[in-house]
Amino acid sequence: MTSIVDLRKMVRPLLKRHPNVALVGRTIVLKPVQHTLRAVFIDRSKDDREYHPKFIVDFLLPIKGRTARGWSERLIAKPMGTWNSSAPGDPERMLDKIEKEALPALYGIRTLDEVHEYGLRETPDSPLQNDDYTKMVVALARGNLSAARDVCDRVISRQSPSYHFLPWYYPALIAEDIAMLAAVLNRFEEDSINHLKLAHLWERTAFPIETRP
Amino acid sequence: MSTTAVDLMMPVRAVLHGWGERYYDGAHGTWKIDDPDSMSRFYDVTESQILPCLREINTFDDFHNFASRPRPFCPPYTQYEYPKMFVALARGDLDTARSVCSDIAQGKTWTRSLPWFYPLIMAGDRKGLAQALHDWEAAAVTRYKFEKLWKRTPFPFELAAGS
Repeated sequence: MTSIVDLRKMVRPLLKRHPNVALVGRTIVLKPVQHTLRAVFIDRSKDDREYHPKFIVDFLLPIKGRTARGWSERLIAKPMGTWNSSAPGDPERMLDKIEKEALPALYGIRTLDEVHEYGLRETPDSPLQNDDYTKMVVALARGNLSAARDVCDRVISRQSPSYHFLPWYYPALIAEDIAMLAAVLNRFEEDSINHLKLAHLWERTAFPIETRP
Repeated sequence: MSTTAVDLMMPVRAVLHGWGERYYDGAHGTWKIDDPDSMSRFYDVTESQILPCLREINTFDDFHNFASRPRPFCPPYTQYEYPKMFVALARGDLDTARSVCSDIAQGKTWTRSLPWFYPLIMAGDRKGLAQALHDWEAAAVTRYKFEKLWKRTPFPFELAAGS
């Protein structure tokens, strides 16, 4: 059941009902993909008949501490056990759960700020709170240059317990070179998109620093 | 195979075992630890060639002269940003250190970070840089467990400033 061919067959009714989602490999992705990834990853299991759908919300940034796929990850399984292809009605029930629970929740988490808020809420002890490099990159992406510089100041004064270097674009951060910083962020995003093979779903949009007055 | 390894006391590793020459057993190519004749040749090469070579490398200038030479599988140290910056700073060559930083800051290099004392380099704060480099050296000494062997000494630019 967990082969890609079987997976496509199983997910086809969902894709027909929701034109704004696409299946990429084993991942159901909400489109268009802009600065964030919102998806359901249908993971395989040691048991060929079992599969694990996971709710995924992610930044498209090179940050630390992410799980293999997704910043904040949540299993949407039945109350007991895992989904099993040999169990009658299980695929339909899983699709129903994705439609009724995962997709509505994912529709509500779209912007960088919303992903940040979700990440903090769902994983309180995450790198978003305790890793300075992650904090700096996310602050930069959200357009908070002051917070990104604060992290660098901690590095320079050797007060950062988790990050001991300055990013290569530090001079641009200090000079508020928006063009350079935007190029850096766009490159980060493009690298993540290519890594995830989502180029066909990606819609390049301006980062907050590019649109601020 | 045996290698002379000359490395910098930096907490950032550029290459795995530093820079140096490779020495091979004339009979086998590789040295055989269970072959007394091979080990005898190894001790001989170590005493007659390797140790004298290492004993001649004492200063940053010596290091520069030794590690700048291109060798098979061992590019000159100047091809690596952090070693190049560290040696330049130690020798008081701020221009080279700034040039390395500039290349990094323009995204021209594989290196994707600047050292935390980058502002000191740009400001030409030699006193601050001396402290930073000593701290860096101490961090490397701790990381590589060389505390018992390490003797803290001034960097060349500190001696030049004091003279």
